[in-house]
This record gives sequence, C-alpha cells and structure tokens, in this order.
Amino acid sequence: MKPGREAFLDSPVFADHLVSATGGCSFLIKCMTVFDHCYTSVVNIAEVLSACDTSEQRETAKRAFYGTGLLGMPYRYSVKMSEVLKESIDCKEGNFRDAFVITMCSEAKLPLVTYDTGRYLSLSEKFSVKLISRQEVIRKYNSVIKNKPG
Amino acid sequence: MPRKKPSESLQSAVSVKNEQIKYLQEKLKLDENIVGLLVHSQGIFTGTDLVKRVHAAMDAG
Repeated sequence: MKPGREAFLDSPVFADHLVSATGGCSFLIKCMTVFDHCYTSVVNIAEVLSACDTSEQRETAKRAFYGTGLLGMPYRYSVKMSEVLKESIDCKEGNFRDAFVITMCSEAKLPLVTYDTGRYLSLSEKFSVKLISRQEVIRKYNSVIKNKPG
Repeated sequence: MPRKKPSESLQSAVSVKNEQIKYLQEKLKLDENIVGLLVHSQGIFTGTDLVKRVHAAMDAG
C-alpha cells in the first residue's frame, strides 16, 4: 500500500453515496478523486447490503462498490485482531466490527476515512491507525480540483 | 441572479456526471460502463432509511 495515497472507506461513505442528491459530487466520488486507491472490507459491504429490503435493491447497491478494492482477512491477521479485540473488551468500548475494521487498517497500513472519528479514536491511537475526517477529504478534494489541469 | 431553467440544470448535471465518469475511468483504469454504473448509483435510493439501517448494523457489531 502506498502511504498517503490510499485509504479504507467506512460503511456510511457508501450508504451516503446511494442516498445523496444526484446533482453534485458525492463524498465517495470525492474520495476516489483524492486517493489513488480506495478499499473496504467484506464486513462493510455486508452492512450496506443488509440495509436493503429486496434482492433488486442489493444488486443496485453493489454498484457503489465498483472501483473500490475489497479486502478480506487472512489467517495471520487473527493475532492482531485478538489484540484489538482484547483492548476493545478491556475498555468496554467499540464492538467486534470496530475491532475488525481497525485490524484491517492496521495490518494493511491504510488510513480510515470515517464520518465518525470519535467512534474509532481510542482503538486507532492504540494501534496506530490514522483517521481521516470528512472535512479533511473535502479540503484535499477542493485542492485537487483547483490544481487540476484544464 | 436568475434561476436556471430545469432543462439547463439537467444539462449541467449530465455534463458534471460525464466529466466524473471520464476522470474516474482514466484514473481507475476501469471499463466506462462500470464507472458509469458507479457514478449513476449516486442518489439511487430515496430517503435516509438506508443510512440509518447501516448505522444500526454497525452498532449491532
């Protein structure tokens, strides 16, 4: 992974794209403009698809993930996940899926783009995962658009 | 400033989408149809129920 040019996107980024007004550029598209590669995990996709009522809706929702790399979890990540999970249980904060997301970002050395930095703050500090807020991406996007040739 | 006529707004929105598709197609090195489906999936669901449900799934852990 190339530091600073790739990112892991949290589930609400995709959900927001699917419901946001069609006129402008969604936050997901802004992320794809700012970063060379965007990634997410099977858990995040499952969360978005679980919010759909019908199989037709699920097929439509899958389009939001086109162009985003899908990360799975190999066996070797289980050691890191056990540490994250232990921390999560000891601190009585976060949950299994947050531990999964932080493990993925930590092992893949990817920053986490999230609307809710507070949710991951404690685990991200302990496991050296950089959090990128919505405002930070929008600032970078505006700068990219300003400097885009043509 | 006068409001844009609906047809002008629509044309402008289509032009923005086409520009996004072209830019992402070159950047992501993906088929134009795939990028088109991605870009046009924006706002395909109405209401905010989907977002609420995704948050509920996240909190269910």
